[in-house]
Amino acid sequence: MRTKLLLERFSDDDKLIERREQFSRSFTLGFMRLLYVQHSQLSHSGLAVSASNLQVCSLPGYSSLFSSQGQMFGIVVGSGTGTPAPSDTCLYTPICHGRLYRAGAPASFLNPSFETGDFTNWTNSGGTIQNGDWGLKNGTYYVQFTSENYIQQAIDLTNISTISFQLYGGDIADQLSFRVSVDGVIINERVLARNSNFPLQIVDVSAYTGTHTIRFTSHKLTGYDRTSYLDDIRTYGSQLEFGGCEITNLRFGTINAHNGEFTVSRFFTNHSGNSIAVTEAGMVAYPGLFIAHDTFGAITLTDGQLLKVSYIPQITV
Amino acid sequence: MKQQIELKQEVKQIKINREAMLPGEFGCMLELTVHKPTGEVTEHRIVKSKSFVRQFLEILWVQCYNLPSILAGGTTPKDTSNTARGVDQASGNFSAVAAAGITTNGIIVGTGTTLPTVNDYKLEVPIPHGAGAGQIQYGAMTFGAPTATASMSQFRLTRDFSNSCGESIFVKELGLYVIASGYYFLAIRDVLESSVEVPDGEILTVNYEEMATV
Repeated sequence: MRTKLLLERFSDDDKLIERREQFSRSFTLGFMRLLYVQHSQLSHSGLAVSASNLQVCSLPGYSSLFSSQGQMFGIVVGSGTGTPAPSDTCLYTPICHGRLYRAGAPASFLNPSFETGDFTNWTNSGGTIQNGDWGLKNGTYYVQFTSENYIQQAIDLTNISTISFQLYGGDIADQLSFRVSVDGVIINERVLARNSNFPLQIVDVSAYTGTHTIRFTSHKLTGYDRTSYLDDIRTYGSQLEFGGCEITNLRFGTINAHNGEFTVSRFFTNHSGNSIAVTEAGMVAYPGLFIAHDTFGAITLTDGQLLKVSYIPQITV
Repeated sequence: MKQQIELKQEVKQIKINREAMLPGEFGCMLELTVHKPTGEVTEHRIVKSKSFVRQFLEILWVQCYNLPSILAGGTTPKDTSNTARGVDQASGNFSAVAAAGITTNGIIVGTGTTLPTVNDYKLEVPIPHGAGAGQIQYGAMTFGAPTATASMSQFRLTRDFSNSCGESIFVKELGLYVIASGYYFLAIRDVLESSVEVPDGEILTVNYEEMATV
């Protein structure tokens, strides 16, 4: 089975301006893990059998209420360069949902996924490094908090529109919240439901320029001390509006040189007021695994233009 | 001495076949090993599996869509009895789990010779489980966990077939049956260029190695 990657750029009045077609180069290990779990009906490194495994169909945009929807699932795009590898777990420089523009590349947190196995580059108060499994962490290590713990790091927010992170928390419902603060001011707080898994939390920091201290805090609301897990802290610059990710056109017969295919596609609209270059695409499937990754020469979207990205798996007998 | 030379030639062929995977391709390598109960290998082949059939793509479509049960008639793949079935997203979809003696799921072997088509829904002539004439004993399905190199990720599905029927069994076709929404579907079918002989008292081990290349 090979997968065709189709890239189509449209004007703001829906006229096709540019069309590119190439074979997708890389189903990643994430895809193989999901298929293995379903074939064997066995868990693998925290990944469990689920009716939703492999889902890429998704609603548009971003929702903090539905952790399995919006930009967290389906086709994603970015502005990074490099050669995809089977072990890739995310885009090199992901673009997130929204309308903001940043002229420069966003700064990144140092040691953002704690893969040093310690708190190098972070100030830590009470957190501990873990390397067990809770399914969606990026890489080997993550942080475990017990109630009033935090980590923090100073970062230049000038070219950063949003910060995201993976969060899992709360063995008892509604007794723990998770806070993000800038220079001591809380800008985001989420009450964690029991054993809740939030593969992508988004925090808007677009109001800030210059260097600021970002703190991630586990906060006890009531009851006993409770645990939460944090990993994969990312930054984003310019934004594109994510349409829904749809699955269409399952068909069989003699289709060019192959015998069967279906289409996964998504529109991305540039309402940032400036031009944005897209150089990579991929797919994220439930429960948050990066399953495909491709890079290509830049497609530049001027303000108002749309990019349609389609992945078309094809079988040939 | 002659046997050692033949085995060396097979190893060389393995390398060529693995390189036959196209860049970006998701596919299977099919490894067939005939061995005596002592472990002595009498035949070993690795060939590229050629034929995902339509039910594989249909079940993948259902899972990618996360098709709810109310829309289960949205796609109706044919099960191994040639009956169109409404399928929806389910935790058991793509299961290839099968205990010893089970011939409705997992890796299946047969004697059919007709080349695969995308519309195949079962093996042409499946070999039944048993120790009687024309039968072979199906072992339990086992699975090797996923791994990745710099250019490839893969995992393995394995099943042993023991021949104690008193005469040789000749395996010509192989396939993978999987479950979706409680029904059984053919996902992969391969017909070998030449049959694999499994002499009486020997074991055929079949590995389907699913892999994706960059």
